[in-house]
Parts: sequence; structure tokens; C-alpha cells
Amino acid sequence: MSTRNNAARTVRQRKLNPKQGLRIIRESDIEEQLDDESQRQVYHGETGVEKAEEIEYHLQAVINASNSTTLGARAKQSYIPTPDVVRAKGVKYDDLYPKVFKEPATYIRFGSTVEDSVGVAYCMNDADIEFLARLNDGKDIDGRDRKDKLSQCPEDTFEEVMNFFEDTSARLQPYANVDNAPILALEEMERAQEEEISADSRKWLKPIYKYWVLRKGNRPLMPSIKVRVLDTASEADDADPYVCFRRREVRLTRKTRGRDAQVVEKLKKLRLEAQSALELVRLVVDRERVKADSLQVDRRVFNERKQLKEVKAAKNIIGEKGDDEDLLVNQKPVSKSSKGRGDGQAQRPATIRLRSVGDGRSAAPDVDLPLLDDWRTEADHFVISTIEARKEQHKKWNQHWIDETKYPITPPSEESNPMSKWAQLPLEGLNSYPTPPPSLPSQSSQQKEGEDVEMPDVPPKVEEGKQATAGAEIHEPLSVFHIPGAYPLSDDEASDDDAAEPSGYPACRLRYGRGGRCYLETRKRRPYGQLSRGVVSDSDSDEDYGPGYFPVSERITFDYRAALNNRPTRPDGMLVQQQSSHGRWASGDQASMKTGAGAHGRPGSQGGAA
Amino acid sequence: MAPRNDAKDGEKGAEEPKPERGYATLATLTIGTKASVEKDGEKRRAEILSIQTRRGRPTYYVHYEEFNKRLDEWVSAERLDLLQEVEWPAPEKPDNKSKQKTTQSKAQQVSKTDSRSQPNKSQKRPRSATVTREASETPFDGSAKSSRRPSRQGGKENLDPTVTIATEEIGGTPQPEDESAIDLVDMQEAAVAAKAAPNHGPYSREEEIEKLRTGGSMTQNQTEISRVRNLERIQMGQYEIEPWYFSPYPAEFTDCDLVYICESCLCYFGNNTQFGRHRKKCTLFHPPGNEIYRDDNVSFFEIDGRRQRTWCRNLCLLSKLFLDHKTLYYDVDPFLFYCMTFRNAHGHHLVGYFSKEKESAEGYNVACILTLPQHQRKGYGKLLIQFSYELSKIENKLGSPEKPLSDLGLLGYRAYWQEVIVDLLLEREGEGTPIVSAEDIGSSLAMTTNDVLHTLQNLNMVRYSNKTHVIVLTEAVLVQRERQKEKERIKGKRVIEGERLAGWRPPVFTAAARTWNW
Repeated sequence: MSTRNNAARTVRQRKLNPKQGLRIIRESDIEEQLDDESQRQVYHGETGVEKAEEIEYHLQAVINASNSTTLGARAKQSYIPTPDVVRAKGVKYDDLYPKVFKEPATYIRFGSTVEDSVGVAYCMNDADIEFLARLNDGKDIDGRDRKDKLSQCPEDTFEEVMNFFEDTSARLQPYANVDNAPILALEEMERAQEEEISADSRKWLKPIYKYWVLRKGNRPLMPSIKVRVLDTASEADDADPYVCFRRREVRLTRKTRGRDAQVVEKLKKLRLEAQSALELVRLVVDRERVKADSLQVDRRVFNERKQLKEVKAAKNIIGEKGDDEDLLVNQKPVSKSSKGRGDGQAQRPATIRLRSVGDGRSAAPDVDLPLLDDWRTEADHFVISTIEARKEQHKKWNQHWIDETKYPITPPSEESNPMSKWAQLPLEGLNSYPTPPPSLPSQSSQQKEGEDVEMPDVPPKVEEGKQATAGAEIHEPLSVFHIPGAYPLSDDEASDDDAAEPSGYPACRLRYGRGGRCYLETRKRRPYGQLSRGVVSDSDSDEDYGPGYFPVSERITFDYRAALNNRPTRPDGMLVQQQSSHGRWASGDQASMKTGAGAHGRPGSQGGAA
Repeated sequence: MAPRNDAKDGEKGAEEPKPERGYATLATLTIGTKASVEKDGEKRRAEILSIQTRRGRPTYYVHYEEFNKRLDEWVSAERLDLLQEVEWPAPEKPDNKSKQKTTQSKAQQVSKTDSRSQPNKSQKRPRSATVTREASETPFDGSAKSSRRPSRQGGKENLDPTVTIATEEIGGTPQPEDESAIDLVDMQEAAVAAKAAPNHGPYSREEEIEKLRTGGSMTQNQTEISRVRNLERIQMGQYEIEPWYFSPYPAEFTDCDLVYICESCLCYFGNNTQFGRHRKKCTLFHPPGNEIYRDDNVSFFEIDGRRQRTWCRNLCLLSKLFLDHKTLYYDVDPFLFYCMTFRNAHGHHLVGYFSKEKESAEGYNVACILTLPQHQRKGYGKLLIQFSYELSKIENKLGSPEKPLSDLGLLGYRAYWQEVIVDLLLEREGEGTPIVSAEDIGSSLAMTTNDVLHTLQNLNMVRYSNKTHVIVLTEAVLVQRERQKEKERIKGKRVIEGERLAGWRPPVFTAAARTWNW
């Protein structure tokens, strides 16, 4: 298209480069008069007119004329005919468009819409005018005399009323033209009215209503174009040439994996934030409840004292002068102690918080309020020191003595706490969420995605597993390979376990036997209460304690060994073959651990779990 | 895009099966029949698109072959020449494609689906003898006749092509109207003009609607554009105007002899009384937007389709009467409307307008452009075009009107391009720097390089001399320019004074507004 096709030329023209500067010359300047033919060829570029219309007779005539003009010929000018426009006859233009416009000095800025500018949309036609004349003559629609004594109805009022009818019925019966809805009653429309209509018009509603009913058809009285809200509304509309100005439906945003991930992240974050906010609120509620309780107690104390005072007064018991003040002023310490009691009962972090708030007010009460934890540590210390003392005592007894008994009651050498060899099974959060738990793993767990087992999450576990192995070697060397997470444990099983033995926390460990077989061993801890109770007795020392095992629900499918000294483990399925060769180690090991746990379980860790 | 038909080969022989022909009586005439109709004293082949009985007499809505649809009209039975054979409509779907005489069109391929075939078209066409006017699609075909021009409708010729513009465009490839089978009987006719075979545009209707959803203002769809005109006449201001094409005004107006259109708000009324009442209440004196340009003759108002939905819809309904390919399928929100008015004591009077997409993916600076028929041939079209380029200059963009152009639009744009390019070349020549590239010209005039080249080549101004291209200010072009200047001296020259637009800034729409509000 950029070069004319000069078939006659022998020299091939270079393509015209739009960036290239071209010399502007006059026709007379052309040095070599090339063969006219080639230069005078008419260019046939794309016109931009539709092909079918391009060949229309009149357009072709004009184009041809201009082409020949271009080539220097004189051509008769052609025109494209169009239908007539004539001056309208009988139009009182000055009446219709009065000469009242004043050109402002500055550019016009205008924002009102057509609706704002044309007043009432309804316009009277001839029939309306006729009716209105009759109405103002005192006749109603049936030609009878009007009973009401209304004055003249102005045209504007009439139109407002008609407009009200039209609008309201269109609003209430948008599909009237389709389903032939009954004409609305006047009362109904009055009830449904949205915009206030003037009091003047209101008076005329009734008489005009009858007339409107007569004229009312399926279509609005003022012709309107057909508009559909959505272009997807209905297929049928598509073929209707009168339907126009469809709304474009909202643009769809592109869906990509990246967007999805973004959205998920956002939702997750929101979820976490909402949850922590909820948690905070819950804590606040707890605190406030405790506060309320304490206030009530205060009040009761106060009342009691007041009564006391009254009694004193009645009985004429004379107190010290400060007595009355005491009732009020000394209130504080009293209330503190009551708070302290509440503290002990609640045993919740919330309580502690409350206390610290109290700290702000006065430092004194702290002295009065022992912490539960302090109590416990104290108790533990007492237990431990007693044990130590007893051990020392025992050793002293046995000094210089040789124990010939079969099972001497010498305390075992201190070993690392066997408890640590056992990892706790994951526990469901004791505080259940007020809302269902997140369907997606929280961020922290997500980072370890792919690990279904939570056990390995306890960091020290790997090493401890080795220790456990070492313990096992006492009886029989065994190579143990520990692969964290290799042995999936579903939450279901864990919770089942929990349910079966609510008082203790199941512990378990993974062990790998010969041939890569792996075992999960579980053990139940003793109830917590025992710790504080059986302090001194020898029964708490190891070794001589009889093996004990804890029932585990049958539904647990992992390998389970209950340990009995010198007894093969009860086989569970695939365990069977294993037993023959390694029957003993497991049981012995198990037994020792179990007892150890009983003796040395740390109150601290358990308390934390609670 | 497609090659243009210029060569008329006389290969008539290779035609497809000829349509059935025979003699008809008034009673046997049906829709789709092509008969010889008297037009301006000549007989011209025309297709009957609709039949009505008026005052007991049948009247026929006919489309003349190779005439623009704006010349379609109702004719009485007397104008039908039944002494000649008529061409019966082809049976429902079959072989139409072939019918077309492709004699002239060299490059067009006839696709079967298109031609005549538009199945729905033929099916939709009412066959009953009395049909109230309804929109039926009119096939379009052309055979060139010798008739010089239409008399009755041709009351107004466009003497000056630059003046009249009616461009409608929608982006897209033009798709020819579907023609019903046309059999060119006459050799002469065949020789005169080539009819492009209706090669269906690349667009299916669904595709087209989807395209329109995101931009554009015009339709390629035959069922959309080939309809029987539905309004008889309109009155606007002091003028009575014959509509050119179908427009989806309320269907009730089909029965009105005259539809009244308010000059200010463009509201429409089927009844003079109602119109009179409306005029008493209407308080608009100008298009409801901001005036962005004013000179001694005209003002321009910028109107946002989203803010002035009713007014812009009214404007579109009105302009659809004169723009064949304009589509009103979707709402006006994505367009800005630049309306040109002249002023007097009555207020501002709309002369013409062009619409413009708020964001045109194709880089168009004009969607639809129209000078109202009562103001055509007075040079306003050129002002509108010039204004659209002035806006593009401020936006620092190269603009081009949406394609396809209408016939009048093409002539208007060509005249404008020719004038501004020639003026620029003369100026450069006068400055003594007679070297300019096509891109230079384009950026100086805010025109696309393509339009520049198109214009230069069409005027035969690009030549190859001394192994290099040169731009030649030909005698013909200079003479034309002189003549035009002479005319301007006599009649006064109207131009848009760009400096008066200095305060205008392109409206900015937020991404949210673009995404959600249109």
C-alpha cells in the first residue's frame, strides 16, 4: 500500500519509509518525465468504507470524479444525494423556543441532567386537555357533576398527578406489559408513594385517577424506549431491534493462580487477626467478670460492716473514734483479701492479670497474696528435698553395710530425667476455639507443610530418641534409626488416646527395629495428683517397681507394646516375627521408663500443659 | 483490508444460478421480490422489503440496488413496472451465495453463508402481504444503473463533500451487507459497479457484541443495519427532516406521521400537544455539559455519557436516524460526546457532534461523527473533524476515525486531510525546508501515518523520482486549494482556533471508573 504499483517500470521502487524525509517539489520540478502511464495510475488504497457500500453508485461517482481531477482532468462534480430537509411549516418557533437566552461571558459549566431540567415528565395530549377542561367545568369523568368543591385544576397539577400514577404503577408493576397486571387501586398507589407530591395535587388524585384508569393500557402513556438492565438478561431481547442501551456487565477480573494465592494469604491473615482479637475480648470479659465478683464481695463486706456499725450504735457500744472511718477506709485491705481468694479459685491467667492491675493501685496487697505457682514450687521443693533427705538417710543407714538382699533398696544413680525420652503426643488445644478452627493450617504449621505428624515438632525429640535407644541397649543392642515424621500419626488417633485416658497424657516414641520396621510406643503418665502426694515412699524409686502398663484403646492401630518384664510383648499384627528375636528389650526398657516417669515427672512441665 | 473492487471484469458468464424470474402481478408480489421501480424518471431494480396497505392501496418499501439505504422509500403500486420480469426471492436458504454477480468485484470471495443467506434474515421477513411496517432486514445490493440521481429523495445533494459527514464506525472489519441474491441482469449494470460479495465479516454476532462491550460504537451486523426505516419524518427546531435509517425510538412512533424532537434536550414526542407542553417546561438552553470552546460562530460542549445518560441516549437515538452502522446495543457510558452548537437568542442549537471513547484500544479519536442533516453542506463537518484533531493534539496522540466510514464520512475526511496536508506542505515549502517525512506530517497534524500516506497516495502526490520518493504538490491539488481559498474569501472561513482550546485538559478517569462504571 505504501508504494504504487508501477507495473510498467523496470526499476523496482524502494518501499516508502514513513520516517524518511521526502523532498517537496512541484510538478514542474520533476526532472525526468517518467512515463505518464505509471505515474498517473490511480491509487487504490483502502477507503475505510464497507466494501458493500463502497461500490454504491453515488459514492463511486464522486470518487471517480475526484480521481480524474487528481489526474488533471476536469470532471463534473458529483454529489451524494440525501433525503430531504425542509423548513417546517406552521411552527411557531419563537413561541416554542422563546428568545430569552443570554450568553454568559464565561464558558458555561453545567451539571444538571435532563431529568432535572424538564420538570414533570408527563406531558398532556389532546385527550388530556379535553378531560381537564371538562373537569374544570365541574364534571367528572362520567360526565356527572363533581360533588367535591374543588377549584380549577391547573395543567401542571394535572400532569404531576398523571406522572405520579405512571411512575408508581411502573414501579410497582414493572412487568405490567408482559403479565397483564391488574390496574392498581388508588389507595395502593398512595401508600406506595415515594416522593412527596404537592398538597395541591393530592386533592386531585381521586378525580383524575378514574380518568387515568380509562386511558391506562399495558404500555406507559408516554412512549419510552426499551432498555434492559443487563445485556445478558434474555436471549429474546437480542433480536429485538427496539431494545437498546444495554448495560455492560461488570468486567471480569482475570483469574490467575497468583491472584488466588494472594487472596488465600489475605484471608488467612484476616482469620488470624480476627481470632486473636476475639481471644483478647474473651480475656477482657473474664477480667471484667472477676472484677464484678470482687465488687460484689466488697459490697457485701461493706454492708456487713454497716450493719455492725448499726448494731454497735443500737447497743450503744462505743468504739474508737476511727471506727467509722475504718468501715470505709480500711475497706481496701479487706477487699484485697477477698480478691486473693478469688484468685485462688480462678487459677487462670486472667486472675493474674487482675492482680497486676491491683499492683498499680497499691503495692501492699501483694504480700498477702501467695501465688499458686509459688505454692507449688514450694511443695515441689519440699518433696524433692525430702526425697534427697531420705536418700541421704537411707545411704547413711546402709553405710558400712552390705546389702545381701535380692533387691536392695538403694536409690539408683541419678540419671537424666527419663521423662525427656518421651515426647508428648500432640494434644488438642484445651481451649477450644470459640469459632471453628481454621480450615487451613496456620502459618507456623504451614511452614512445615508436608509433615503430617506433629510429634517431630518437639525439637528435642530426635536426640531423646537416641537416648531412649541407648537405654534399650542395656538389654540388647539395637540399631535405631530415627526419621522424624516418618511415622504418620493422625490426630484422630491421638485424640482417641486422650479420650480413653483423660487423666494422663500419652507419650510415645518412634523406634526402628530390624529391617527398618518401626514401632511407636506409648505410655501413660500417672495422674498428676500423685506427684504431690506420695513423696517419700520407696515405692517411687525405680527398678524394683513392678512393670505396669496402661490400657490403650483397641482402635489404635499403631504398634503397641505394653511392657512386662521377661515376657514377650503382645504381638500386634506384624509385630509377631519381630518378637522372637527382640522380645526382651522393649519390655525392660519400657518398664524402667515408666517408673522413672512416675518418680521424676516435672511438675512444671505438667502444670504448663494444664 | 480486503482488496477493493476496481476492476470490472466482464466475466459475467461465470455466474451462479440465476434466480427465478417471471412476470408478477400486484397480488403475487412478495417481500424479497426484485422488481423494476421508477426512480427519478428511470427504471431501477429494487427489492421489496416490506408491503403495507395504506388507505386501501398497497405500498411497497423498496431498496434500490446500488443506492445507499438512505434512499430506500415507500412507493405506490404505480411506480412498479410489472411489464418487466421480476426476480422472485430465492427459496429460503439455498444457493444464494452464488447469486451474486461477482462480476465486478474482483477480490471478493463470496462466502455462502453470507450472501443472501443470512438465514434469519430471510426467515424473519414477513411474507404476508400486508405488513405493518416492521423492521425487516433489507438486503442491499447494488447494480449500477445509469440513472443520474434520485430526484425525490435527492432534494439535497451534498455539494461540498467536506461539509457533510456522517461517519459511523465501529471498529472492525467491514462486513458487507448481506445481499440477497442479486442477479445482475444487465450487462451494463454489471459493468458499472462491482458489487462486493458479501463476505461475511469475520465477526459472528456474538463476537461483535463482545467487541462492542469493550469498545466501539458501530455494528457490522446486517440484521442490525438492514431495517426498514421506522420513522416517517421528524421535526426538530424549524426543520422537518426525513430520517435516513432505522432508529430504536419507541415502537409507538412508527405510527406517527411526525415525531417531534426538542432541540434542547432531544426528548421525543409523538404528538404536537405533548411537545408544546414539554417546551413550556423544558429549561435547557444548551447541551448539558461544560462548554470547552467558543468562538464567534460555534461552541463545543463536552458531555460525559455516564453523567448525562438521558441526554446522550437521546442524542444517539437521533443520530442513529442518520448513521447506518451506529449501534445502540450498549449504553453510552464509555463515550464522551463533543457537541457543536451555534448560538442565538433562542439558546444554543445543536449542529453536530462526534463521540469519542474515553479509552480507545485502537487509538481512535472519533467514534461517530455527524452533522445534523439540516446543517449539512455548510462546512460544519470540517469543523467537527478539525476539532477532533485539535483534541488529539492536546492529548499528544495521533488520531483516526473509527472504521468503517460511511460514504459521506469518507468524503468529509478525505477533503479535510487533503486540505490540511496541502497547507502544511505549502508552509514547509515556503519556509525553505522542503523536506518532510510522512511521520512528521502525521505528528504535526495529529494524524496517523497511515492516514497521511493514504491521502498522499490517493492524491497521487507520492512519486518516485531519481530512485527516491518525493512528495509532489501537483497542479491539480494546487488548483483545488486555490479554488477553495477563493470560496473562503467570499463566504468567510470557519476554522477551529486551537488556542481557544488551550484551557482544555483531557478528562481523566480513574481505573475504578473505567472498570466498574462502564
